Amino acid sequence: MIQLPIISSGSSNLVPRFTCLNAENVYAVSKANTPADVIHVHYAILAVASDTAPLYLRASIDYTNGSTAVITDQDIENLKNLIKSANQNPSSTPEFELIGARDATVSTITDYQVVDIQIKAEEPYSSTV
Amino acid sequence: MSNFIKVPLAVNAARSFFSGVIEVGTQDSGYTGGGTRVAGTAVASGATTTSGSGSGAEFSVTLTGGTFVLAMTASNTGEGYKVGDTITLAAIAASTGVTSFSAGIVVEITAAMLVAIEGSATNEYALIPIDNVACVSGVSTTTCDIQVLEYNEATSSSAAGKVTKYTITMDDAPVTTKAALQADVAAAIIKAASAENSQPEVKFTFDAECIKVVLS
Repeated sequence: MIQLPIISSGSSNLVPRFTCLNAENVYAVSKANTPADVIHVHYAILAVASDTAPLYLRASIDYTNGSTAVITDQDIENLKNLIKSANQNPSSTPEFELIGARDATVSTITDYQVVDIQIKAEEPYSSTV
Repeated sequence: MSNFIKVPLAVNAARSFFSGVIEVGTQDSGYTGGGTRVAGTAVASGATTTSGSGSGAEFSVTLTGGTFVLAMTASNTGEGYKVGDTITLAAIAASTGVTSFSAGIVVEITAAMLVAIEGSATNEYALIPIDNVACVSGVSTTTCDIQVLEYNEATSSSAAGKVTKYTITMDDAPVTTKAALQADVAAAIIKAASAENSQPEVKFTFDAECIKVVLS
């Protein structure tokens, strides 16, 4: 399980609280083309052992708050690595933070915090972790 | 072995009236008082809280039949009412064809009159398995979804609707925030994920109260 800071959740913008995202059964992470500032985490799941074809689901992590794009290609790589790390340590709950948050100010930090996460079914995605 | 979180369910939470028709019953078997009563068409009647701390409810009231069966429909469902509280419906002057009663009608509130809740003395928690939880999604200040990595083809033809979820519904008072609700639920899931068999309880900020948890 990965922790992600949620916008407007803590005592101040600099001290956010967290939402969570499952790191198991992930086969790809991608940056959405539209809308910008959304990361897609792609899951493939066998509902029961006898299933021959997996179910495909996608979590969309929405950072659409500020007017500028904040998600970089390096953020996608970092999230992939964090997912790998979390799977190697099943009881771990590491935090994922966008790179830009490190240099953000009090007034811009919320651009790097999650607005919401939604899951939906999808067709298989072509890239792999 | 599955990991779970415990969602505390409010027991006799202060809440609003049910928005549909509320069948109260007859005098001394549902309500008291009323003085001289006349059956007739519905009439608007204000409600005064005579015990408890609820406020704001207003009703359309009807007396029917020779036994003056009382039914009321909330035109304003109010807030803060509990089972066992009493309200008094204001007297209505006689008018041709219209329900009337010369003295206030006192109604003791029952569970069926209020917004339904799951919690009771013997059902204090909803248990949610977290092994297949995908994420926690904020919906509103009173609703939060725990989305699960499972299809539920029966619920909807849309892609979003096919995902199984637990919907946690909060009472609208005390007020919490969408982000706080999301973080409260996520905190318990994160704790359960990091400590197997711990079964942590969701701690709602702002003393918010959960009225039901529905799997769909």
